[in-house]
Amino acid sequence: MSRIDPAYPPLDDTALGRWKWLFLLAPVLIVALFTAGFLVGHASASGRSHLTGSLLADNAEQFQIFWEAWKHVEQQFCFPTPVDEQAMTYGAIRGLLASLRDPHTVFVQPAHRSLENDALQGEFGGIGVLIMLEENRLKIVEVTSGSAAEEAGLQPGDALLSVDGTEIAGLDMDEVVLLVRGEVGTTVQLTVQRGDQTLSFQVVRQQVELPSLSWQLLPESVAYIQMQSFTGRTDEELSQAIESLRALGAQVLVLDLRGNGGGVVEGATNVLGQLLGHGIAFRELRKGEKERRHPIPFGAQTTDWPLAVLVDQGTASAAEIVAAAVRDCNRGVLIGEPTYGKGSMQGIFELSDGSSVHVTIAHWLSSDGRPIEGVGVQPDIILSPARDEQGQEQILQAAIEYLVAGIDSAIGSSALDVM
Amino acid sequence: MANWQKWIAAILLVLLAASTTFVAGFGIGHYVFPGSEAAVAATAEEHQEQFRVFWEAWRTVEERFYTEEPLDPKSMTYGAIRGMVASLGDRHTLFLEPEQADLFKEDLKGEFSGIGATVSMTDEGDLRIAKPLPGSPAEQAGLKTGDIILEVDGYPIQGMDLVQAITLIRGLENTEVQLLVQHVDGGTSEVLVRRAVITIPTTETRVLEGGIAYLALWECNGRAPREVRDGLRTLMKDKPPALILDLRGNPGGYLYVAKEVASQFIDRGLLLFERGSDGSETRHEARAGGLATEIPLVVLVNGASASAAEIIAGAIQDHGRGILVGEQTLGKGSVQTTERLSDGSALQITIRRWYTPHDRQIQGQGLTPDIQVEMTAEDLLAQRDPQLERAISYLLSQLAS
Repeated sequence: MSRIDPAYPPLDDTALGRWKWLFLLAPVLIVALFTAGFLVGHASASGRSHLTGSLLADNAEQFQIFWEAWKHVEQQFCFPTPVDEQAMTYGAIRGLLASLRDPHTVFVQPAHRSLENDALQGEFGGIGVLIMLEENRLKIVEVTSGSAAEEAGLQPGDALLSVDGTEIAGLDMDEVVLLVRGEVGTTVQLTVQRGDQTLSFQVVRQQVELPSLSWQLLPESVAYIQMQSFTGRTDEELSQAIESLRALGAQVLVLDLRGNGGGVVEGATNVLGQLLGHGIAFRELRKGEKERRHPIPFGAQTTDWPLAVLVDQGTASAAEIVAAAVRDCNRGVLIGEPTYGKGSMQGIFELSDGSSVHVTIAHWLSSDGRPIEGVGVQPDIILSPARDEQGQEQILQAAIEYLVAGIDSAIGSSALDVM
Repeated sequence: MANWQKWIAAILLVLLAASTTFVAGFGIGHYVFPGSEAAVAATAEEHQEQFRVFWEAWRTVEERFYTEEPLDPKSMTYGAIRGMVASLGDRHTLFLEPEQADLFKEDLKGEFSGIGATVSMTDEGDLRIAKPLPGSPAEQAGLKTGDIILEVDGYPIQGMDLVQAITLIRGLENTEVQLLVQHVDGGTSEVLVRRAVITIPTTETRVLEGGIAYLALWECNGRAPREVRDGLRTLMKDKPPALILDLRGNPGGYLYVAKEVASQFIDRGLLLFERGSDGSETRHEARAGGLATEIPLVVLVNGASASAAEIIAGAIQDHGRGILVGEQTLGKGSVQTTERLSDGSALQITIRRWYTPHDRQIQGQGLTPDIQVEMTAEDLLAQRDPQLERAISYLLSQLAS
């Protein structure tokens, strides 16, 4: 799941691959890394802390050797560092989860988790700059026009020195991002180096929205929508995109799900609502429960444009639900490579100290009941173009040819009807 | 490292069936008792608050984790220990499950009951015979280097890990094990092998040109002190003019063995000292009565000489007792002890660092030979040993002058 490429803007992901879209896109990457398939409320563990006692008792005998090992470490281990109880506890949780042999069941420490929530919700309080690591320094490389950062006077090339008086040297990127972000309307003070000068700026944090898709109208009335992830805002973004594209005269749709690592499942079912309008989005198997069928929500505007969906090995999770449903319901054609094969859903459970565990709580089956986990979705037309501009062009052309040929024959047959 | 050295290291590691280079200090004395149940319970009690998040995670897994297999609390417990140990960031501090712990202990003794072949697990998951030991049941049964063992007593090997496979093959002396073997020269057949007590070769002695005595020590296991003593006794009878001690590829072993072996060459004085992180020091002095304390000496070392082997080489170098010829040694300057846990699993813990008599730290640095001689792949192919040749020519020129 590290294959996720935040290709943005569309058709040109090569240059951006090297950049750290920290404030804007890093969270998307983080979603990909943690392969969050779903947000299952935050089952706060503190509410059931009374259970920990009985659980300890249940497993006391089995678990005794853990404490024997701990005791030995505590009494005897010397090198290379003194023992850190918290690190040992976190290590134990990591090891516990690793023993389940499920790559998606993982432990997440507090700092990462809140970035990840930002990304899943699709918005946060930030200042609207893009930074990257250059010669060991965090530099602003882009200032979003109209953003709070632009208004305050920050410029591309400024090197970040401190945030609210905290020197950032030695901090990792996530930590810096967390310092800069905060509640909308609050102020953050940034000290930067510009040439020989050291300058300070007060910036009021504003709502920063993470776009989950981008679109453009291609020749021959082809609507092209590239969806990078599924967030809480994807539904709205898609309906706006479709509306705009329709106004521009679009007649067929190419939905590019390549490199889309998933996100919030609801975002995916909503997308199916706009593409299909009815039917089963996917089926779900949970521990000790019967198979659950998730209906495609009724789409307020359901588009009937002929559809081609582009997929590749980086198409995963919620994106595979969309691709599988499009295939199973014969809504359109899938073009590209077999997909990643992550048909499982993780619950994010917050632990009492602010860390969390992502636990696989369900497996998904496609609309027709075919497994996705470890298998992926097979495209109708297999194409595996090179990951460069030419390859990009090639796969898009294949989709367009398929769709435009479809329109021509449709027009032809209706013309015959008239005669 | 030249290829052959890697090869030797790989064989030894397989013999040891351990996942790391072996260590000085196994069995250094269980001076901390595993502790009564009450003491262990007290540890659990003491960390209850800190540890609460662990139980929350455990509980979440029990209640929600979707899997077709039932949960296995034992493997979850082992996983937790492994993760806790991994958090220490020391690759020599390890958790060994009961089977691994048993193999580990057997291998350290230098003998076990089995078929007498070294094996390796290929990347494809095949269990391949690396070498049947001379005179072993495996050799007598016709097993050859490159043969692949497909089944052991009807159990398919494919998908097992190395330790599981070795555990199946080993067993009581005089019992039989049935192997389904895919032969390197074609064909597949059932082979019945009678298990015997296998002694891992620990030393080799030879007399070289000019009557120079040669003693190789392959690992510092429990049999090494006796074998070294017997080997030296035999070699010294002929009053050789000089001695070469070959520690190349020796991955180490027990600390007490390193002291015993070093004491054969060094008459008196400090051999090494250990330091704990609390600053405590333990000095280890040579034991009097060594058999080769005067004879001109060269020690051969390479990048696979580690741990206990480095203790011996470092003491000889610091005492000016002999020179080192070959390549930079591995640099493992820590001491581990192994603690059995109540269910038979074990924890190997780094407890101290050791330093040479001149207070040189070995960890991460290794020992630099007095005369550096590389061993290349061409040398290996041509069956040349330039390191040994250099040692001989050095000694001959010293003797002449």
